[in-house]
Amino acid sequence: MTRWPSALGWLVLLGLLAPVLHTAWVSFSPDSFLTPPTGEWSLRWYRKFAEDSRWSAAVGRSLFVAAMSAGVSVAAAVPAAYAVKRARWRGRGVLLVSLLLPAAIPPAALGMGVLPLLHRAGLWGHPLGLILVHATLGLPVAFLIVRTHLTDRLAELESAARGLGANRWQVAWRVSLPLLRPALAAAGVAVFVLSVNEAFVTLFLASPNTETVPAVSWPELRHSPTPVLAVASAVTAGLGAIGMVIGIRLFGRPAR
Amino acid sequence: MPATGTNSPTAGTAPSSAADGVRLAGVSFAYGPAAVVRDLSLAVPADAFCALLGPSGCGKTTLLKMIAGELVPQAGRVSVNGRDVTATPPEARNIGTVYQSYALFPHLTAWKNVAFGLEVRGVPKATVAERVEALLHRVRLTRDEWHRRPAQLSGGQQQRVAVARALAFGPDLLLLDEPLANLDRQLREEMRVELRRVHAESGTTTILVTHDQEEALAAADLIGVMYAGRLLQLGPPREVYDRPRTPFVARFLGDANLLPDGTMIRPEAIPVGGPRQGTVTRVTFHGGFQAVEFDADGQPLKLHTSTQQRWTVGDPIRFVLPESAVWAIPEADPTP
Amino acid sequence: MTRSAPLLLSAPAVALLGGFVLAPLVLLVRVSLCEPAAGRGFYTPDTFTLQNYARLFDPHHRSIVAFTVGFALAVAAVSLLVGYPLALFIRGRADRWQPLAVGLVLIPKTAGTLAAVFGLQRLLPRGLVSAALTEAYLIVPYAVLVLVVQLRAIDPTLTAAARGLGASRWQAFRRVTLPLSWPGVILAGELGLAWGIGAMAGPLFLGGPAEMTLAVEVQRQAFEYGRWPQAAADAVALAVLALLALAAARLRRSP
Repeated sequence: MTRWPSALGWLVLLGLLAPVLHTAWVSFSPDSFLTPPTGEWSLRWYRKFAEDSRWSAAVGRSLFVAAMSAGVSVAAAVPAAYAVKRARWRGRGVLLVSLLLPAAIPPAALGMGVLPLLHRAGLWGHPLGLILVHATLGLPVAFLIVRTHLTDRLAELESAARGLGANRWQVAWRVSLPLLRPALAAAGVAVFVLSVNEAFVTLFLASPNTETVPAVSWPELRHSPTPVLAVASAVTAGLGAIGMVIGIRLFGRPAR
Repeated sequence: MPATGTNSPTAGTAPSSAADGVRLAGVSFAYGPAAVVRDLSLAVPADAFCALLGPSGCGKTTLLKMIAGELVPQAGRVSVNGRDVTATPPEARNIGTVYQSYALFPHLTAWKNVAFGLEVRGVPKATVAERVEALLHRVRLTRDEWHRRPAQLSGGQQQRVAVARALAFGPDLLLLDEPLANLDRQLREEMRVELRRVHAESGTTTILVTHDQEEALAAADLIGVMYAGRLLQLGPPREVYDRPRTPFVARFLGDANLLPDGTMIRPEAIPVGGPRQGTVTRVTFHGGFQAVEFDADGQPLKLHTSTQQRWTVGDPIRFVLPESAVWAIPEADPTP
Repeated sequence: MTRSAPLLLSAPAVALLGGFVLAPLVLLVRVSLCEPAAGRGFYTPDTFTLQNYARLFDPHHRSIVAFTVGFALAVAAVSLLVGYPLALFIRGRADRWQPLAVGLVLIPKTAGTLAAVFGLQRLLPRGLVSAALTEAYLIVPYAVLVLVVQLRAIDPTLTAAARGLGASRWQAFRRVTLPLSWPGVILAGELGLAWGIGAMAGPLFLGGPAEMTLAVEVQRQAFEYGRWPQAAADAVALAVLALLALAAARLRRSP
C-alpha cells in the first residue's frame, strides 16, 4: 500500500529532470536539427562552442563575474546577518525586509532601473557593474543561509571566547569564521550558481564587454536556436558544478 | 519585606582584606519591564567557594552574566579584587567561566581549547604548552585525550576540559554555571569532589550557580539562596540550613516543617516517642531512612526516622518537638 | 554590542541595496516620468509627463496587465498543486533519503534555467499552457523547499497522536498536517505569485504571440521600440504588482 505512492513519488522527481536531461542529450546531436542524436553521438557542437571566441570569452566572463559577486555578496551578507540576528535596534526590521527585496522585485523591473543607472554612472559595459548587480541579487539567499547558521550555540561560543580574553577580532578570526565556514561556502556557492545563471537582469545590461554565457544564449534561443545552445547550457551547468566543488573544497569541510 | 536583599549579607568568616574577592553593590537588571535581579548586594571573600542557589528564574544566571561581563547591570557596581569592573568588557575582566553546556569550541582539540585563553593573551608558545599540559594533568585527562575534539570526548571529559580552560589563564575568579547539570548522578558526585579539589589546589575564588541544593551543600563553603531576583541569605552551609532567614530559605534548602507560629523544625530533628501524639497519614521509603507524615491536632508534620520500625497509615505516633531544634524564622519572604 | 555596531555591520549590504535596488527604482520612476526620446538618446531628460502612466490604461496595456495577473495566479496554483504533494512525499521519506530527494528537486535549478527552458522548448508545443507550465517548473523547486522546511517543523508524533485518537489518514492530514503547514503554503503561494507576475522566460520562449506579460512588454518597449520611458512605466507597474502580491497575502494573515 505504501510501496506504490513511494515509487510514484520518486518517478515524478526523476521526471522533473527530463527537460534538463533532454537538453544534455541534444547537445550530442551530430546535425543542426534540435533533436536528440538518433544514431551516433557527436561532439561537433562542443567543438563549435570551443572554437567560437564569443562563447569562450563569455565563459571566462561568467566565471569571473560569478566568483567576484559571490565574494562581494557573502562579505556583505555576513555582517548584515549579525546586525539583524544579534542586535536589537530600530532599523532591524527595515534592514531585514530590504535584504529580501532583491528576490521580490521582478528581474525585468530591476534590470530596467539598473540600465539607466549604470549608463549615468559610466559603468555600463563594465564588468564591475554586473558584479555589483549580481552581488546584490545574491544578498537574499546569502543572508538567509548565513542567518540560519548564527545559532544561539554560536553566540554562546563567541561569548565564551570573549570571557577567555579574546577581543572582537580574535573572536571573529578564531571562533566565528572557522565555525561559519560551511555557511560561507554554501552562501558563496549559492550566489555563484545564481550569477552563472542570471539572465533576465543581465540581458538589460549586456554589452559586448559584459556578455556572460546566459546573456549570449537567451537572445539566440529566441531567434535562432542551434544545438550549440544545448552545449552552452551544459557548460553553464558545468560551471555551476565547478563552483560547487571549489567552494566545498576550499571552505566546506565542516569544523566539527 | 524586600529589605533582606539590600542590606548586604556578608559571610560569617571575615574576608582577608575588605577589597579582596567579589563585591556586588545594589546590582539590578531587567529585561524590558521584567525585573530579573533587584538591587542585589553580595560579598564573596577571596579564595572562597560560594554557591548561589535558587529555583530556575530566580535571576542567578543573569547575576553570573553580570559578573562575567556578558550583561552590564542597569544599576549598581561590580568589583573583583578591589577593581571596579562594572563597565569592563568581558575579555578584560580575567574571569574564567564554565558553562552549563561547557561551550567548548567544537573545531579545536581539548589541548587547543585549554590554550585559547593563553594564546589570545599573546603568551609565548613554550609557556602555553607548559601551562596547558599542567592543567590537563590536574583535571586528569589522559594524553591521548588531549588531542581529541570535544565531540570525541565523554560528558565528564568535556566538563574537565571546560574547567581546565577556565583556569588556564590564571583567572581572578572562577564562575561555574550549573556545570554538573548535564552529567548523570554518579559522575555528578565524582565531579563535585573534583571541583572541590581543583578549587583547593588553585585557590581561585569560585562562584557556583545551581538549583541543586545537595550540590550547593556538598561543594561550597558559602551558600547564597536567591529568590525572585534577590539574595535572601548568605552564609556557611550549616548556618543557612539550621537558621534560615525566611520561610523560602527553609523550604528550598532541604525539608522543613513550617509551623503556624513562624517557627520551623527539620524532619530529622523530630524524634519518635514523647509526650505528643499524632496519626500517620503517609509513609515514604527513601532507602536509608523513611519519611513519616502525620497529623497532630490538625497540624501536618513530617519526620525522618530509621527504617527499622514499620509504620502504616492510621497508626498512632508519639513524638516531641525539642525546644533546641525549633528555629524562629526572623523574616518573611519578600514579595516576588 | 555598541550603538553604532549594527550600522557599521550592515553598511556594506546597505550600500549594495541602496546602489543597486533603491537607486535604480528611484531612477526608474524618474525615467518613467520623462518624455520619450526625440532623436538621439533613450529619453528626454528633465521633462515631466504622466503620459506613460496614462498609457498603462489603454486597451493594449490593460489586457497585458490582466493577462499577467491571471497568468501569475495560474502559475502559483500549479506550483502549489505540484509542490505540496512532492513536499509531503519528501517529508515522508526516511531521514537519509530526504537530502537526495531535495537534491533531485533542486537539480533543474542548479543545472540552470537555460538548460531547463531549452529542454522544455523541445518537449512542449508553444502555447499558453506550456508557458505557464514552464514558469511553474522554474518555481516548483522553491515551493518544495519552503514546504519541506515547514512540514519538517511539524512534530511527527502529532499525526501519530491524531491516528491514535481515531482519525483516518485523510482526517489526520486535513485536521493536523494541513493547518500546521498553512504558513508554508501561504509563503510558497506568495512567492509563486510574485515570481509569476515577473514571468518572462515562459511567455517569451514557450508562449505564442498572445502570451504577453508585463515583463515581456518591458523588454520589448526597451529594446525593440527603444521607448525607455514607457518601458520604465511598465516596469514600475510590474514592481508594484509584485510587491502587492507579497503584501496582500501578508495583510490577510495579520488580523
